[in-house]
Amino acid sequence: MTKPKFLIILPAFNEANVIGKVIDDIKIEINKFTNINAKILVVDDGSYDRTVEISKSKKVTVLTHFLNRGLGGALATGLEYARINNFDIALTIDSDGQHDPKDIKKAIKPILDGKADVVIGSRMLGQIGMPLDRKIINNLSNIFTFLLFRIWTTDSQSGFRVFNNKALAFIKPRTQGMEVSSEFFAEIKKNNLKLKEIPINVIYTKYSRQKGQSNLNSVKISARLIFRLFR
Amino acid sequence: MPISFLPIQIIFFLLLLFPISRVWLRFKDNSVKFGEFLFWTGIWLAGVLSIFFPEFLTYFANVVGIGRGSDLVIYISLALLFYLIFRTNVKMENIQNDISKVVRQVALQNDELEKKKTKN
Repeated sequence: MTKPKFLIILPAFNEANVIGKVIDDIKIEINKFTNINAKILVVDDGSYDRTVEISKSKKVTVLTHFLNRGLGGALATGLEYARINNFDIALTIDSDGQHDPKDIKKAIKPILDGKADVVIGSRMLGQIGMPLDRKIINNLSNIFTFLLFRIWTTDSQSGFRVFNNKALAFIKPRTQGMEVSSEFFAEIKKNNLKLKEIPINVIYTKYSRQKGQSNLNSVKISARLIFRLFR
Repeated sequence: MPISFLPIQIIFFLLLLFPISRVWLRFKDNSVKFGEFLFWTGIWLAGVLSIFFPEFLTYFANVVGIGRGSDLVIYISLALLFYLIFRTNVKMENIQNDISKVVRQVALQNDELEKKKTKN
């Protein structure tokens, strides 16, 4: 029986400081898998530092955007790569070192067991808490996502997601920036996909907080989501 | 009904001739579709009419329950402007999406080329 093909997608923009370690840590975890063929893909979103050079030195596949398109654009490229190359499972994970690669194994389990089409890693369910300001913004985002797309989640802004091939066939995000995190839920709802949430740990550092969503961006992101409804 | 020729009316009329001419020229060179041509010409001609027959505006304002014709013009203009801004934003988002599609295709094609080079 052939092993399922599993792609780990890292959207990256100017992550030269941490991308090498992130890739190394992911490799340590995926080398423990015996029942799946795992591959790492870095989608460089027009970085002007050494992100591409460092990623290529780690012998992983690197796709390069010649223009910066935003998180949504980079994720859509990664998912398209997964579709074209017939991957059975795709996982998206942040390149800033916020996510713990040790959570990968429990995230793909519901997919391998056929219990879910999409798995979202929820920081709100995890043991290590989010900073209070992020919790507040996240809860507001969850409410906004529910009001717009009629689907409830405890972490609408999570970057840790797993898709099976059914979900990959349907989910084609159109938003460009960080609002893509909410758009995934719209796609899940629209295509009647089975969603499961699992608790994940999150590693907050000064660096990862700088790279993540800024609280003030929330209004802009919300406006873009509303425009997406009319497209 | 006599048309009055106050200086401000002449000035506004001359100012409006400019966008009317632009709309016509853009329609001639196919930059603007017929529907849009009719829409914008209608707007500017309504502006010309209201310059020389302001009592029409007052009449319509009274019909809808507003006191002054100029208030009616402002309310309608604001609503129209907000709608146009909204439409423009939606179009811009669509353009951003199209740009991303191009960037994505180039990234994927470059990957294919690299794979072929490595094979050879």
